[in-house]
Amino acid sequence: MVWIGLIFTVIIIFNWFEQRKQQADLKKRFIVLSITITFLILSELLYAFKDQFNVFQMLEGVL
Amino acid sequence: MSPWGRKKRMQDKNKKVSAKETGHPPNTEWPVLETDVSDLKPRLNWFKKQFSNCSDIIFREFTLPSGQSCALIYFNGMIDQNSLQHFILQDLLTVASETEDIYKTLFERKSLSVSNYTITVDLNECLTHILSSCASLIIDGDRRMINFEVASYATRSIEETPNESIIRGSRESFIEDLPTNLTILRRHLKTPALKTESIVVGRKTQTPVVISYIEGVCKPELIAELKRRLSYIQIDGIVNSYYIEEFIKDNPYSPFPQVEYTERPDTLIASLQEGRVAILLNGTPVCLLAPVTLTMLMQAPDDYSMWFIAASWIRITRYIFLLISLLLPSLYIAITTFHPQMIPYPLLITIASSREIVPFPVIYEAFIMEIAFEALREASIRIPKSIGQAVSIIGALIIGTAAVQAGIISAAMVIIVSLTGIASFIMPHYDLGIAIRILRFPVMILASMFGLYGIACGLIFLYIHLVNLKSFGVPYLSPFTPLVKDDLVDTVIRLPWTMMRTRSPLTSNNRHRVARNARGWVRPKGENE
Amino acid sequence: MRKITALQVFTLYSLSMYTTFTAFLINPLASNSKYSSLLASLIGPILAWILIYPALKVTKAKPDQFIIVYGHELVGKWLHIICMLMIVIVNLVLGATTLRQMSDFLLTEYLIGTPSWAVLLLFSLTVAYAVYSGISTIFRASQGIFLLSALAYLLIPIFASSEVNAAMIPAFFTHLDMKHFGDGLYLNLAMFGEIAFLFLLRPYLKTPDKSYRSLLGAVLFAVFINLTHLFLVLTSFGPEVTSNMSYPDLELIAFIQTGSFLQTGDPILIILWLTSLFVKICFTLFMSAIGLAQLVKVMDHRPFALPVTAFTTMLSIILVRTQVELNELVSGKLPGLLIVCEIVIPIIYWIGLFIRNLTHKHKEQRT
Repeated sequence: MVWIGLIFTVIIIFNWFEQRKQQADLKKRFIVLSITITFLILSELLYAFKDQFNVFQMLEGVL
Repeated sequence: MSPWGRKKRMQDKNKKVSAKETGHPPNTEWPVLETDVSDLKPRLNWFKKQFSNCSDIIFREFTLPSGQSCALIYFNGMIDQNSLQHFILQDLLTVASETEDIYKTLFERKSLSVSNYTITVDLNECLTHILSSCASLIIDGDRRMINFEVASYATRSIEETPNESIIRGSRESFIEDLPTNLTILRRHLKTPALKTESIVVGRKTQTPVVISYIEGVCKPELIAELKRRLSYIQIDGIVNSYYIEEFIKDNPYSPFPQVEYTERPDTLIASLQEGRVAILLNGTPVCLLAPVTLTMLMQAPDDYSMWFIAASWIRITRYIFLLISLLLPSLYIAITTFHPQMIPYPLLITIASSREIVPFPVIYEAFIMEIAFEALREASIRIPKSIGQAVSIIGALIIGTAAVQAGIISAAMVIIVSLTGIASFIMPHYDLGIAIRILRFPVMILASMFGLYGIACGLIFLYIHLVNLKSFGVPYLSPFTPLVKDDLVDTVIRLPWTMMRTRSPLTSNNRHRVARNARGWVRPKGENE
Repeated sequence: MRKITALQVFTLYSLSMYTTFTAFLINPLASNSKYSSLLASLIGPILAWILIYPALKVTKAKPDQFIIVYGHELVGKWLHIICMLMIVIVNLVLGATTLRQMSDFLLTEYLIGTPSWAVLLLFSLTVAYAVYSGISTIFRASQGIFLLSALAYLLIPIFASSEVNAAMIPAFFTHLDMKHFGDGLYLNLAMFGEIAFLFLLRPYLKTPDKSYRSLLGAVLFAVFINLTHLFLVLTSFGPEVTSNMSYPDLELIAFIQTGSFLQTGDPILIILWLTSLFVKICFTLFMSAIGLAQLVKVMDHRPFALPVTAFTTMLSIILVRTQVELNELVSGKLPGLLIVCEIVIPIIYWIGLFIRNLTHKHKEQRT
């Protein structure tokens, strides 16, 4: 879980500075940041509950 | 103000950047003379101040028969003394004794028998001319100064290039003198469409740089883009062509060369005829060519001076050895470590027995050998010729039998590394060879960790990098991807000239170069002789 | 913007379809469809090509814009967001599934003992680089790989043809069963229907109308390779044995007896499958990244390339617990989702476009 957080942190920092270099608006930067954080939270949650609950079981429940 | 004074810092940073960019000294750093510049004395003193402590500058002061004081300023050893004596001094004195208005005679009628001279009023411009091997004449009473182009200095003679030798073809190569190189070019390309636009680069070196192209063949957008990139170069000095290459290449962090270089006039001329642009500069025999693709770097001048099947065979060999140079050690590591089932049993037993006494894993063995080979290669470039022989013997001993018998490395590894080393020299372009040599090491590490999968991932990464890479807008892997069918005739194989009638659409809009009936003399079958 | 040629469309889709089929689909097909799998693999892809026509028609409405940007005009804002999000999520799951299948293959056959995260991390780095570089890089990469890959895939049946049991051939005609045929058709429809996603990128296509024909060419070429490999596998091993093999095509290659040196050349398969699956996964992840970027009006896919790749890699690790769950996902759950995204959603948009055109016509007639 630490490694997932670390990887996403590196990605967030990289994206932030890349967008700043390209002079993107602050609004777009925050949108990207929020989506990346959503992915991070989802990843951590899915990883934390991988033994009890996974995508296959989710799909079984839906379909 | 935004948090932590960031906004102010950005503004200050912008100010500093613009000061750096605009605050750089103009072409010359010398202060402008403020007095009336038609007098000889102040101007002469100004030049003496600029050239203080320069023992090779000559100030030849004299008086004309018409009474005006003059001075000739030039560098000793940079001008032709004979021309100075006979065509400038002698002529000047003769003209001055015969005419009433010396200024009109010299500046308006231009009655001196010197073929090439310029007139200037700017002291700094005159200074630049003196530094560029001109002799400058200053006459008292007129602001105008004459700069005589009577340059004469020792240059190397035109010899065969040591780095791009071929079996059959021209033995000429470029030298360090730009006018001589341009002369060589003109002698071979007798067309007014050969354009040679000159600019000066380098604040202190004032290096003349010439962009050469064939008008009507080369794409105007390419020429404009090259000029645009060159215009951004702000540096104290240009010592060799790589300085320029680094400023104009698309991706400076890529190991692959994006600008080709050559010392051969025939290669340059062929490239100009393809629609490429050449950059020639004073002080180096190496000329740059743009754009370039991977297939161009794998072509050698020899390919066009032999039978097309032979040329195709040699090119295929080059591509095979390109892969060998990059992948052979990695494949050996991957197969012996992860996939020994791929090796036939007799060979497997031989390799296993040869590795029995070696204390290191395959990857360490490979690294030791490769690094030793790299060290030998570098040493052989810098070693004095007198002891070069001794070094090759030591090298053979290190890499050869002694190392195997000492049990440091296995015999198979010696063969692998030797073959890899030979393979890297087969590539016609030295920079491409270096790129492959460097990239070999990360692929070896991947092979030791993940086997063939690691090699595959490394190759894919490299492949994506090459697909992304461009040289002046031309994709690096063209004509393979994106596919340009017309160009495939001169890539891995070379077809005869009758099948290579058109130029690449990527570098030229003027496609036709060989007439359809170039072999029209061939009689139809059955016709009587 | 318009950089993708029809040839590049052909190469990318051929590569992804025949590689996925031969690598991972032969097993579920053989177990579900048995002798009807050949017919299902012939008709399914062509039917898929026909059924994606609505996707082509809908995107023709505004050829210079992305449907993700203007789609809300056709079906309303919320339905559009739900549909597009579904496409993004399904592409993420599809990418994760393909990654998981690939890593399972490598870990069980060649890299026994290597942690899965290491294998996936290495591959993900290359995928992230390609997705970040953009769609034209992915298509150009496929164009370069195609020739060698296709040649290898075409040569394999020639070398393996000696193992064919000719007595089994009549069974492909005598043992046809509607239920089996339907199961095979379902799987093929879902897999080949992925070609519908191309039209989400219509402004990138140089000749969009030619692309539909290129897709047919890609489908037919992939069908040819798939049928030859499937035929060889089924006639060499039979459906029962094939359904018990994890990678039947791999076993087929192991039977090639062209000389002792090439006998165990199956590790070469790693390079073949890897390069082809690479372009498929890159395309799938690019679809997710660009879909997200356009949905949130950022437009540039690059900021989303890395998070999407990282998330998909992580998802592939926790996607399923066992191989059995993976097989069930691939042959049971995922095809249904794919068919909804590839065929049903474009039909909904097509209906929306039709209704909009009708109302516009009525308005014009009234004015």
